[in-house]
Amino acid sequence: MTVSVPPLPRRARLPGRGSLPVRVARNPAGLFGIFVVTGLLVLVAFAPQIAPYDPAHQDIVNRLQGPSANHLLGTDQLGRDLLSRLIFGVRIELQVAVPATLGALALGLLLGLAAGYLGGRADNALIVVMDAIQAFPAVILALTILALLGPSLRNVAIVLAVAFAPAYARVARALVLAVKQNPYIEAERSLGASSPRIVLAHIVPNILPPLLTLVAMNLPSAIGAEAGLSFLGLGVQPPTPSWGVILADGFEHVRDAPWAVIWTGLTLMATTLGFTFLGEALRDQLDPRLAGALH
Amino acid sequence: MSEQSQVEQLVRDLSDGRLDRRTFLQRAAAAGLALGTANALAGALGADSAFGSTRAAGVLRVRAVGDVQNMDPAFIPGSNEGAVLANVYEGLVAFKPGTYNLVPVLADKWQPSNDGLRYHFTLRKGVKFHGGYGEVTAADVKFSFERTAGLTSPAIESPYKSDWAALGEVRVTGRYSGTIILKNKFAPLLTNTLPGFDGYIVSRKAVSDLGDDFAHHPIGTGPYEFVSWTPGQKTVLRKFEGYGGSWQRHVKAPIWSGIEFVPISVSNAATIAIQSGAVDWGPIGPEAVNSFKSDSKFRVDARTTLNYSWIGMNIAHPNLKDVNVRRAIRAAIDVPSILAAAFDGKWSRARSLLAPGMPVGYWKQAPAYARDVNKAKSFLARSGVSGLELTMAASKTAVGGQTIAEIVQANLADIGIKVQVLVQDRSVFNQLGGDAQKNRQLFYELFTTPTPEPSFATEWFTCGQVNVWNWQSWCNRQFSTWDAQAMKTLDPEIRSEVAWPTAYFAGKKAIKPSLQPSGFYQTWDFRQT
Repeated sequence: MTVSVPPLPRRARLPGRGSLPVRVARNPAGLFGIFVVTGLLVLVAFAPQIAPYDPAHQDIVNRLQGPSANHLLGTDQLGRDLLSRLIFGVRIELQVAVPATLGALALGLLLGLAAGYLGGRADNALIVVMDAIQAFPAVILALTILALLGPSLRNVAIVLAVAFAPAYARVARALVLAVKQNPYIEAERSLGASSPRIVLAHIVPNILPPLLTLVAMNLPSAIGAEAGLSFLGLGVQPPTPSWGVILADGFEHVRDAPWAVIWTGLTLMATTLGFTFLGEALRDQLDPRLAGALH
Repeated sequence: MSEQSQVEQLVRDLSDGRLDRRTFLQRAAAAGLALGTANALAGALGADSAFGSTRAAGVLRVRAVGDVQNMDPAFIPGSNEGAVLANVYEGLVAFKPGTYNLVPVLADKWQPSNDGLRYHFTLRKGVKFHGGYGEVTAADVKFSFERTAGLTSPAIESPYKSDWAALGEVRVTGRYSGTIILKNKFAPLLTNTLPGFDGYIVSRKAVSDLGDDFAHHPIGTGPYEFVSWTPGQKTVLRKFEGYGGSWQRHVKAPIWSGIEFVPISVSNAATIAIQSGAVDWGPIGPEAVNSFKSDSKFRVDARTTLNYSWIGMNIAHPNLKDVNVRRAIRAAIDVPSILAAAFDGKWSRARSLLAPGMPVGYWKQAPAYARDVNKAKSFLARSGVSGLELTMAASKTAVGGQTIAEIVQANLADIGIKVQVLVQDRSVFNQLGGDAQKNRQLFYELFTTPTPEPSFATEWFTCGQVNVWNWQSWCNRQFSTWDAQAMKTLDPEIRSEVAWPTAYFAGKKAIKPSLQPSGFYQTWDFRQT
């Protein structure tokens, strides 16, 4: 007797023609996202070469200056060059946002896989835990954890990873539940494949693309959250030029010297839009459900 | 038009609906009255004339820097309560607004003995307590003072007990007369204790009737009586219709029908509240002065206080034990830059612990240390210390605290000292003794000194305050002895020139420089606007 086994897709097929960056760039929003994210990565890599001043250098005599040829974006209350602080601030933002988001992805993926694949009591228990974390206000959760651990870059990243993980877990669980119903999973199982093999070889590759688009869309949230915590004095400590710190410093002088608030606000906005647009464009290209590629 | 008639016209316009409340306030301010009025009403902040008309002019909303906690004069935690209670309570004597001249308030007559050990007083008759608690009598005076001094039964443990340390008793000689009898001469009696909140007269019956609730329901004799306290939102006072008029011998009658104290701790939020009309008057941060000054709708009154702030070093910490390390830090810090950046140039540099406005003890010739990086490096080299890492703490609510810490961080980086800035909640920053003191290194702190008593500014640096408020851990027995002796000396000249401990800093007493306190050399007097 011949058993008909459906093909085993290693990963979802991608719609459209050309490489992924090319397809993303065809979308104007995606192009904007690529432009912003690439720009940020360049700033991260070459901050010391690009920034006109040391971001910690104080020049009290020239404090709270508006934009000029010497200081293109002006200076803060200690006479520090705002442009240089914003450029170096990118490093800090990504230093927190990337580990926080990837940490949340790893944690969420692990929990989502466990819940979705194992099902039953494990699923129920993990869902309750995730719901409990999500029900807890993220800011209060962050304040509590940072109060216990103390403010630092690493701790902010940990806090954000914990706060974001439930969202990944829920998405991962839902995707696992959908994928594991597929005939090829049944076929693998009937052929004696172990659970780790099924999960690693067939489920993870299928659910990862949508999760990665979520990563791209979560990065600006992490950057915003870090800026918010630093604004409250719970993030990075002086003189590290986090955008939240620059914003908080500028807020005190917003009536007389609004430049710090304006530039930091615009930078945050552009970054958020860039990552969000890129995430959406990636989702359009990678999400198998949207693309109709997940069978 | 005279000041008085301007106010009366404004009040009439307000009453008749021709002016809204905000316009009234603005015009009153333009007449040079309203802000001074508010300031005077909040007498504890260092006030000027308070009164313009006997007719009501609406409710004055005052920005308070923080919420009240305990309004019992024997236990008040700070200036937030002080501003409220200045309108609710009266003492036998007080400083005439705008001066440090003592004037009688509840006292009708006031006579010190020649030896300075007895103070005879006669009360004004017919002065009533709020809330129907009857007339003020000499028995209330006795109760009020002896209560804070811990002489009543059962005794209370007031944190201000030391302000009455010299009190033997208050002897009642009649319904309205009595004598304050001291065990020894006590100079702060007339500069701090009696004219300050320690001298407020409380109703013995009210304290007894209200019990613990007295802390949140003050009963005094002042022009305003307590109405309500909504934690975190406001404290409400209303004009006391039965006011005995004790202050009216010195200032005009209050015009506001009520006062609301709205706690807004963040300076920027307070600025917005004032600009939006949510509050009518209040202290603003130095960074907001220029924008208010350039806005014709507002008037800014600048008043120099006796308060001071400083960068301190805990000499008990192993990192700061070496005097050369401390000298290096002192030489490296750029004070003019701090004044410019942290206070927008609105505060001025003080060269010693006692501010220029202090009637005695101001040290005019005190040295002002200029920044000298080479000298700082030389001191550090002499200490043999390298790779030094320090922490510098500042309270989140201290004006300019973080900016100062960041400047110090940059200044000390220039001589190879790495500083970690700790911007802390006030509750964490203010932790006393134990590990908090053991771990404290550099810090920026501000002390308020509401009365012109030098010891009020210096007592925190005595040996007895080590592990309490003496965060420098600096203990010099001679200094502490002089500080105590100065309190017992009544002659202002002697206090200023001979006994007062500032002489110590002038080097007149040949104390080894290695014992020089680490925290005193960079202070600023406080120009609060």
